[in-house]
Amino acid sequence: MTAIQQFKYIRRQIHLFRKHNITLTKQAVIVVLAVAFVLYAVFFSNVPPIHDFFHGLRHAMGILPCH
Amino acid sequence: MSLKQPRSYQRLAALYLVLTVGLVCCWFPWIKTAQAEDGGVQVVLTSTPPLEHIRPDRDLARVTLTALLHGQPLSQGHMQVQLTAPPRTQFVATGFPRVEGSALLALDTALTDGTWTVQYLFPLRGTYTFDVGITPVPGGPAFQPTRLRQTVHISEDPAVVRNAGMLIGGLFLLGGITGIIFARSAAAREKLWGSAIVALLICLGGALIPVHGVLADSGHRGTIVEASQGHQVIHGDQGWELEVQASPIPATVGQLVQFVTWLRKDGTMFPGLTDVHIEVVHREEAHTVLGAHLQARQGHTLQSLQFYDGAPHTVNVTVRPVTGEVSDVAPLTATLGLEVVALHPPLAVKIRMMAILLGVFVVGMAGGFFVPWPFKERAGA
Repeated sequence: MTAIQQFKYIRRQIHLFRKHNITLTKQAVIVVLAVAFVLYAVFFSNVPPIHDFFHGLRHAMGILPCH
Repeated sequence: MSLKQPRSYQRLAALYLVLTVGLVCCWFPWIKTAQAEDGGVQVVLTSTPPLEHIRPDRDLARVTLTALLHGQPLSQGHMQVQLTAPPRTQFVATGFPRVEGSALLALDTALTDGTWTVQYLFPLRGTYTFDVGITPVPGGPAFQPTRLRQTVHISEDPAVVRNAGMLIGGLFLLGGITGIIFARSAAAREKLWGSAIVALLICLGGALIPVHGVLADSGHRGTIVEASQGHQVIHGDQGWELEVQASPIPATVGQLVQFVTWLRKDGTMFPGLTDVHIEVVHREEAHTVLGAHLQARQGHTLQSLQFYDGAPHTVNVTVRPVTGEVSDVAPLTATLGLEVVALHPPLAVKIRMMAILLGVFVVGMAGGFFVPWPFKERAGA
């Protein structure tokens, strides 16, 4: 492998790393949003099948508004 | 002189203070006692099992209200009872936010031995209010019509408290683990961040699998639609007839439903004392929600009650004349099947609780991120 090829390879790797790397703040926001989505779906959703499936769970917690 | 004068004012002020406190201490209990004696009627509330042991939405309580006139059970009178749910919560919600602060029962009965008993399943934790109105009836003892208020506190079920604690603790723990993963990924980002995020999202996604399964299914209780039956006429022997009318239909959580009963003999209203027994059964969970035995001075009564769970209920109304020669008449029973419409919780309550739960997770995440952890240094090194 020539020096030019090596240089191109390293440059490509750096480009890929920068492309896929996200900051810590963005990671935290993604995780919090994912947790919020799951919490809402399980504990607060009004969609009848979801509500009915988790009805007992919501009342068993005592702090989750059901109806 | 200039030194003694302020000291005398201080003594005078202290004397006035002591006298005022003494006057209030003597006057206040005297006023309270006088109010009770002026009203003449007192109400004593007892419960089986004791109220401090009752678990909301689980234990059927047998509550007895005893009206006392000058310390003795009131022989004849009329009692109106309204039960109001605990006031709206300001921080942590309950399972029935639409029920909070609303009227649960509005019943009235004739008193013949001074006591009235109701079996009731209290829906949620908090302080309930019994507003009791007692009025004299012709031929009974004379007293001033009285309105009294009794409050009872129902504590949360210990098992429910434990579950809520586990939920909060679990969220905090999940947040802590997430924070630790972030701390490690910050130290060795190029290797760990991708796998850590993906692993966490897979774990969270696993919680949604049952949701997806439910969405693909059908035939759950929310889709069951039955016609509500809010009116029934029962014809008995010897010209007796019982008519029961419920309104509004369908019932709605948070609102009272009125039950009007008419007992007729040969087409005319029965004019004598009538026994009315109302039993409400939660059809899905097959347990009794309310059992009330009432007496009416005639064959017409109007009672109101709220259905706090959005599920089908069965209401059995049994009526029997008890006056004189007709006391051996077989009781007539009408059965109504009622659908109850459940309203969604207020958006503000949902947002509040979401904020609390997410706050616990974020605090746990921050704790996990900033806590000094031995392997953080190792990973960084």
